[in-house]
Amino acid sequence: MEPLLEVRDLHVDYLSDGMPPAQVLRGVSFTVSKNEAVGILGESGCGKSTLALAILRLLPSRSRLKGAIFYKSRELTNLPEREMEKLRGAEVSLIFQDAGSSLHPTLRVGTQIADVAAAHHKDWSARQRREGAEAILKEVGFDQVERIYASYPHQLSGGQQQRIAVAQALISGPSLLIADEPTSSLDTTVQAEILALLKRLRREHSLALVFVSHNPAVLAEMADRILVVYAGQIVEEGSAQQVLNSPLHPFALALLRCVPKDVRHNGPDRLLSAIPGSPPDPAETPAGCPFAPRCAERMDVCGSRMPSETRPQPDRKVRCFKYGG
Amino acid sequence: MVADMVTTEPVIRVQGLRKTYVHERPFSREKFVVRALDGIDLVISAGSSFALVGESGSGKSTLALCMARLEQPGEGRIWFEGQDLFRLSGPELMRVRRHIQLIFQGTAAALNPRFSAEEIIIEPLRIQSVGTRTEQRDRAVHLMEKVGLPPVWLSRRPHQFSGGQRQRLAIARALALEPRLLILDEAFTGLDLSIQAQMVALLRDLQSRENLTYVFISHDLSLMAHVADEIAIFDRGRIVEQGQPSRLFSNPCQPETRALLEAIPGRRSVLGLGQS
Repeated sequence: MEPLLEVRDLHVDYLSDGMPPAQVLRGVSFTVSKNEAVGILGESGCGKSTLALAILRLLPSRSRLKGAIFYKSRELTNLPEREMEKLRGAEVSLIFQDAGSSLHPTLRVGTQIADVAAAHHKDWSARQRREGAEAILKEVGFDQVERIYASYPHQLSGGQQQRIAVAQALISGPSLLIADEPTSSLDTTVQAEILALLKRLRREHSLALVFVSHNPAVLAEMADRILVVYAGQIVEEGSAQQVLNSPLHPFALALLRCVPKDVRHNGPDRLLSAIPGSPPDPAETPAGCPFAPRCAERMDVCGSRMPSETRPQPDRKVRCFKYGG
Repeated sequence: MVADMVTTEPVIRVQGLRKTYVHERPFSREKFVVRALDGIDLVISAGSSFALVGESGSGKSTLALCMARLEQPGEGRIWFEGQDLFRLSGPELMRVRRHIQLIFQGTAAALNPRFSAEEIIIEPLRIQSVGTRTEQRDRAVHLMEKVGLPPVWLSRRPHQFSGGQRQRLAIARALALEPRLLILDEAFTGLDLSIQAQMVALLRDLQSRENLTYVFISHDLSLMAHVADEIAIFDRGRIVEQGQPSRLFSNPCQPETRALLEAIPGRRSVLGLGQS
């Protein structure tokens, strides 16, 4: 079956004067099927947000993109900007970590939702737009729809603001929702509500989901398949169950050991263990595996050249010399 | 520093603490009262790690600010090592302030962007007139090493550090005056899991070497279970349940505790985070 989204050998460089380009993505390829939820797992600065922005061509102007992005078989990287505008929000939507800063502070949130509908449905009357906005407010879990419609962003809590962002993202009926750390700045209890909401909406709207997170426990809730990203490359790919229960790449394993486990759990991995060091600077091109300086299982070969992708099991990919590379 | 004798006195004792804020709605002049703290009693013993866990707006940060004497309660008392915090003034208060330090969530906002790392770490020493200029500089070098930052970075400004490194810098500053109580208000929020785990390791290491008492404030019960000896669950200005992490996980008695446990991501998933 034709995938909904296909990203093929995507490279993104950020350019700055007098400095070597920062290679934020170094050849990323993956697909997302219809109705599928793909989790992108990685640390800050590994390129996962850049990946989310690149799909919608929302990268800053001083950047360079190479590779191909197919959405429903249309190549997006050379699509005219006007065509991209029609696609954003209507076919592919995006929500961010901080919903508060993506909402206009002096417009009523209902108007801001209706405006998204207006941009994609030029023929809708003012009344249709309002009714559409009210209907979607109900869907994202608000009871007092009229009061919320007339509210300003600052009158809402962080969780309510994120619900508004979800309403904006879904009012034009997209097939793919990209969520970039949508719950990372929320309380645990509010996070649980938003995750439950996204799960329900995904089912009801037959949405495919690209869910970006640094937290394996959140992806355990949300993802069917997980891509582990390190230094701008996918270093492991497999089903959520495979990656979370028996990770192959040493980075994926180390990251899972950073998740606080239930205190009653008595396994050897009960205690938190930190990954030493920090991710490499994207402006420097490492000679070998970029994770090698922090890797507990480093071998001689790791510092000499970049490992290539292998398939140690069907449906699983990894980039590590432990598995041939 | 003069070695303190071992005392049986708890680091913090809180009795009957109440604090209300009166807000006025804009335009309407209508007043409403928020009970941030509604009768808090607790004891935190020396060298322990205590966590206050609750949702946003439950009052836990107000309690932290009262413990640091940055906020005046309406009723009730707090003793720091046996001294009534709100009866202290002048040089006595100045002396006690050295021993209570705070670390906040937003390191970018908590560090002066125009200061170098060295000026940031030295500022508390200057305010408290501790040491000569050379001694202060040596202390800054020592503190950088202690929190795992290269001392050559002392001339850098906050924006040249990553989020995790800035949090280390904030810890270095908090340790400058050799405090006995460190209050960490959502100090892990917004950090990557990998950085979070590094901070936990650093704090654990520092505690065993410096005889520090920690008060953590967080909404993340699963993380707090790993760093705290005792957890108090906060809801609407009250402690609704208190106990050791393993007891709260295996036998939560209050609905607020159960709600926080339920909200832990991945509990019922393939990760098996919630298995007993």
